[in-house]
Amino acid sequence: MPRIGPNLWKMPTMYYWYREYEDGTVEYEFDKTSGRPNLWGTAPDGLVSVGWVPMDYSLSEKISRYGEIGMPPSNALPVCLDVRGVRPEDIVIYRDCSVIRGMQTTCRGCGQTFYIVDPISECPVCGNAVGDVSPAEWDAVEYVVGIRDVIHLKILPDSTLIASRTPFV
Amino acid sequence: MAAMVQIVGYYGGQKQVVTTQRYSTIDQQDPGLDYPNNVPPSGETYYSYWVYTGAEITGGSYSQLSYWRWGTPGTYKQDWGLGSGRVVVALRDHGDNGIPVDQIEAARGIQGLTGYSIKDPVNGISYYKGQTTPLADADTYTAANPLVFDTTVYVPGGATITKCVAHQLEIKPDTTFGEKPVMTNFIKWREI
Repeated sequence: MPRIGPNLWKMPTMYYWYREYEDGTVEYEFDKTSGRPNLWGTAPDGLVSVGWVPMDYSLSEKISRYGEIGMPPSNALPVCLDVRGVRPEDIVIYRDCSVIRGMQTTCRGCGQTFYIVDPISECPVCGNAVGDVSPAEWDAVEYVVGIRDVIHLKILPDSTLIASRTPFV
Repeated sequence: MAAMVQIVGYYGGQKQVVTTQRYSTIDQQDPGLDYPNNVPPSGETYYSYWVYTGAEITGGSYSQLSYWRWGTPGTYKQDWGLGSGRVVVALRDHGDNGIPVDQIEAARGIQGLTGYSIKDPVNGISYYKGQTTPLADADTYTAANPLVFDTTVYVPGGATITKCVAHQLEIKPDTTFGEKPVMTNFIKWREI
């Protein structure tokens, strides 16, 4: 899981970036055969499309050899953005990573454990009382691709896609 | 490709990896229920010792990490029964609101009674006490409106420790004394 040591976080890869050039060449964040990682660096000239591709189980296994953590999402599709004619510096692409220091509690009835941001008294699954609250930490990653001042797309952890003309905060 | 990041605080001016951080009247990460924050007499304000929160990039592979943000659920005042008290966060007049680690001063105060305000003209944090921008209510910084505390772009081979958020508890006579529940906060950053 993403916490790889005591309070040491490494975000999981649910999606990995791709970029396609005018000549049809496509580069990926991870080599599909070996799993070897590539750095984005700075956006190069001549791109026609960029976006995020859902991690799959096969690639997830390959990238683990390089210390990366793949976490295939369910019901996910690639998110592709046409960037023909867009200046490289106006291409927006990043993972928005969070470490949340909150609480956890376990239902006294069904035994389900929850990470919680606000205190709760009843289990949202079965309605029984929950037990004591203790500190807990967890992470979240959202994936953003966009064109500055034009469009920004964000993929939430549950694969929901949000579009906005203004940058995400 | 992912960086490895840990959340850090500063105690006695020294960096510590932290999970929970407790507002108290001693310069320690979590003294338990010792050194509680006290309710002041009428007309006065007491403070917790200052708390610093930032992040350290310890390794991994990345092109850049940027846009460091901090926030709360926006309900500290209500959930902790602070009355007219609040959790405050230090801001600068210009530039990033976070404090560079080489400007961090060990938290000071009267141990077991009260800390000094971050903005105390004599005993406050030098990096903030001369600023005209007042301390802000931490409840205003939420997921929808986080505090941007560091806009530095961190690249491999460069600096690895972010600026830090400086915050503290401000206690008023109508603040409810007692052990408070765990409260949520977060740190966010952009990574590619």
